[in-house]
Amino acid sequence: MPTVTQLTEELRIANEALAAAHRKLAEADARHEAMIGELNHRVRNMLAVVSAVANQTLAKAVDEDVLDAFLERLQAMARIYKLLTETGWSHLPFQELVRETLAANADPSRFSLDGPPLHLAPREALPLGMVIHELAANALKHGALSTANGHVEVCWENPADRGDAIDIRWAESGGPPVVEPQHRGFGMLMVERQLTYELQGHSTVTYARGGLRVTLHLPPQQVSQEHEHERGTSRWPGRHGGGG
Amino acid sequence: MSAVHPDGQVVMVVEDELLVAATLEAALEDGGYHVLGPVATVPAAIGLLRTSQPDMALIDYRLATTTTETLLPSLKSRHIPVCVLTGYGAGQLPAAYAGLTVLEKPFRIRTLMATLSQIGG
Repeated sequence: MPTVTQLTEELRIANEALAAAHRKLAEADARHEAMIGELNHRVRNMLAVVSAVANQTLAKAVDEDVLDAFLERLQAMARIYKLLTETGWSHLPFQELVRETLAANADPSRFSLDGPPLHLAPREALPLGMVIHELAANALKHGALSTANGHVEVCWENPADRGDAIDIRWAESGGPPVVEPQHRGFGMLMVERQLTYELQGHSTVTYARGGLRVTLHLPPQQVSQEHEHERGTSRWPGRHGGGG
Repeated sequence: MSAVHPDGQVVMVVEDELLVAATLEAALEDGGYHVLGPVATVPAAIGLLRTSQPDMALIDYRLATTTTETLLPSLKSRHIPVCVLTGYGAGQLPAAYAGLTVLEKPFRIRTLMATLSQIGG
């Protein structure tokens, strides 16, 4: 039978091993965090260099509008990367994404956002964020944000009986009368195609006379039930029992 | 390129990437500022401060393998308003940068100009 001294010694050794393992894990965590910070910095720095190259190369060669649209797309990407980094590349609150994107283009009194907490995976955040950016840029140029009093309303919900699918509605009002364009610009082409192409979702753009209306739909996440609990994040964190 | 008239105020530029530095230089000159520099290192910036007193300093946070933190005391003691450029979030800068105007990269030239006209008075 082991003596108390032996037991104490064994406990001490086990305790030390545990502490060492814990330290290692904390170090790995810190390294991981530092790398994410560094990656974010590098991505944004690179986008700053690309902006600089564009300014230098194109400023005197292309219309200011064109350069603006390009630089604003870079800004939108940088903003999404920043938000992703702030959330540790795990999930991005959709409301923040929309708010930041619209706030870059308009006074907060010009838009309203409504919907339950919705978390986007990083692979969804970039395409969806760019679609929102294009809609905001379009509203600023042609739609509700091009006038003094126009308004943009963005609502989102988890449609009933559709797993954790996402429905987003963008509705403009108070802008100039809307006429369906003869020719789609690159931005609206992105709005119409990006979600289908990258996320198996779809977009519907309606050129209603009173204001542009767009619905964006993302299907339920392709996650098998048994792995659902391991993801740790769900799209709709406010919903109990999940949407699967 | 902008409506501000900075009356030839002198802006020191400390930025380690030539493309960004050259763009800043061109934009500042277009906007009516005089540029001191640009320089890519803290020692070079301190060298400039020995003989010149800029009205403002536009400094990158990270320079190659170091940062501009060691430059801050020289700017502070000379009461030079500072605008910090960073690819990190404003909240991620060390405490020494607290209270300084921060512009997150990438930024629009017009945003830079608006910021400078604010801190330059």
